[in-house]
Amino acid sequence: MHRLVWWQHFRKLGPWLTRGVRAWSLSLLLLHFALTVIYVAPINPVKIALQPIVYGTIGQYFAQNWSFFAPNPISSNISLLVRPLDPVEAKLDSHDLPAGEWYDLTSPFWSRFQGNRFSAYERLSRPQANAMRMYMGGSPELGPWIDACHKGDQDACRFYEREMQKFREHALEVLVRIASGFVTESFPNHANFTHVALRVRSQIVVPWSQRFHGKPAISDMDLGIYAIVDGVASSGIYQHVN
Amino acid sequence: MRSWTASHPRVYISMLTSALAPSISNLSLRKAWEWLAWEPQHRLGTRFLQIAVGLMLLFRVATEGRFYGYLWGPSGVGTGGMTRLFGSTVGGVLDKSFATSTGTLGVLAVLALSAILLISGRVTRLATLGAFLTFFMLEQRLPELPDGGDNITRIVLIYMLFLLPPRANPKQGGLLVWFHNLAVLAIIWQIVILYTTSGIMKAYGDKWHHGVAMYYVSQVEWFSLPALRHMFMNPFVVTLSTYIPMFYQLFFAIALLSPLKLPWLLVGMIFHVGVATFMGLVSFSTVMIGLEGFLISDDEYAYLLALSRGLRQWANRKWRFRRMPAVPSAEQPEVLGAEP
Repeated sequence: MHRLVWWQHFRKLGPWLTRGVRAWSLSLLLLHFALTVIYVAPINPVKIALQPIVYGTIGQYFAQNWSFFAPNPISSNISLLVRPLDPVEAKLDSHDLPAGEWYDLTSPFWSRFQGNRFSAYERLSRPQANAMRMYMGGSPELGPWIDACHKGDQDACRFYEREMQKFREHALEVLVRIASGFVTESFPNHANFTHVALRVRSQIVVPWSQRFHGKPAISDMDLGIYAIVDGVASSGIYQHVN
Repeated sequence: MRSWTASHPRVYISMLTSALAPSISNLSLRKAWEWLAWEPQHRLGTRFLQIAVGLMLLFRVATEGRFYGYLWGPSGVGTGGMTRLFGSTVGGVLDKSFATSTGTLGVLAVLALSAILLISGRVTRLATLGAFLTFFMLEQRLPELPDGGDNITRIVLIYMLFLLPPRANPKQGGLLVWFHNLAVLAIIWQIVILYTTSGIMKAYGDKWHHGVAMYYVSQVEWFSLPALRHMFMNPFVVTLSTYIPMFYQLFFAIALLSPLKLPWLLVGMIFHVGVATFMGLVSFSTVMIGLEGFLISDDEYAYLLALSRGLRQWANRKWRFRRMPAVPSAEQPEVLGAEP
């Protein structure tokens, strides 16, 4: 009897519970998308004010970037050059290294990818391409901080530098692992290679106004000399690609 | 009542109007609530999306799977993990999958199996969970690998967890329907956010603003076909190919609420086939086409189906008439058996 009374009470509550669940879930969805809109919006006062909550929620678990070649599209070919070094060469400064025997690890992927769209070549070039871009520009999330730094905010400058340092360290870790895998794979009989020199080559697309007669500008940036990481898995593609 | 396959154009126009009517009339709160609470929406779109996401995941496993050790393995290029997001207990357990080659291969196997289940429409909720978990793990292992298509897939997979399985027949007005429709709404909003953000960002970009952005994209090795580079040096080609995607994205949300919705989505699908072919972003384009197909409501699919049936009947009639021998006229009676 007692149980029946409880069940009747519960049945009366049922529709209210359902309405409660509906109201709660819809509110949560609205809040989620309000935060998402703030997250993807350009820098504005609301975004700056709500930065901790927006980046702690959406930035952490629903991170998204819909720039898709915007605001300005990619306009340079950036490739990773690697030079395996023996212990003697490893003591030299990056600028004193011989000009020869640099290996371009990126360009062969592009030419193969242009020949076969249903392949992994583009994907395999992504880690190095994105790591090089990260090394040079950090992340889009640092945009507001560099803006504030340029306006004279010293705290913003310090924060930017600290974050940039982290991005560079991570990018270098990825690039050194890629280079180490390449050396292990391509020179299995050259046990005397202990280091790698890394270089980023940028080839800027000829501007639209000079498209018929301009020559692309090429510039190199040395990233330094690093010890080869032992045991990095080889991809099995470099002998094939090169 | 007239048949769906009736051939008069007015029938199709009235069908299209009734198919598009809910998207416009639902702007009232009461109707919006009914839309969410009563019947599951976008059932066919849901299948379209599940198949597209499954194909995209399967494509990735098929092309990148043989490099599993190099990309995600215990001594591969990727060294990231889930601990940053989920702490050392949950994250640590998930990261152990990448401690051995077998574990890494296992993650890919679960992803492939989930993709196949999504395509076939079996145990789709479990398949979505498997796909999301393994996809997210691979992304966190090597965050330098994914592209925009992977980004939207990862987010949409979360919402897809709440979508009803293809053959489910839930109680009308029940909570299962409610959560399905909330997921539908979330996916629609997410797509609108994607397009609108991208459109706004392009609009204030210098090269997009001045109509030359596609020239630069077409000259970069990463996303171009050398054979097409010269074509993008033509002022008309480059201006049109720059402005069309920019305006397409900017007006996407408005187009969804207008009678232009279906043609707009069709243009989007054709555009993404072009992106897959010329820029080579096959997985990105597959998922984007899936999302565009998801936006088509069940009534609109019914309209498209009826339209295609009507067109087929019309073409059959036309073809049959053309193939039929000419009726002999009285002035030129047919002479049989005169040939040698």
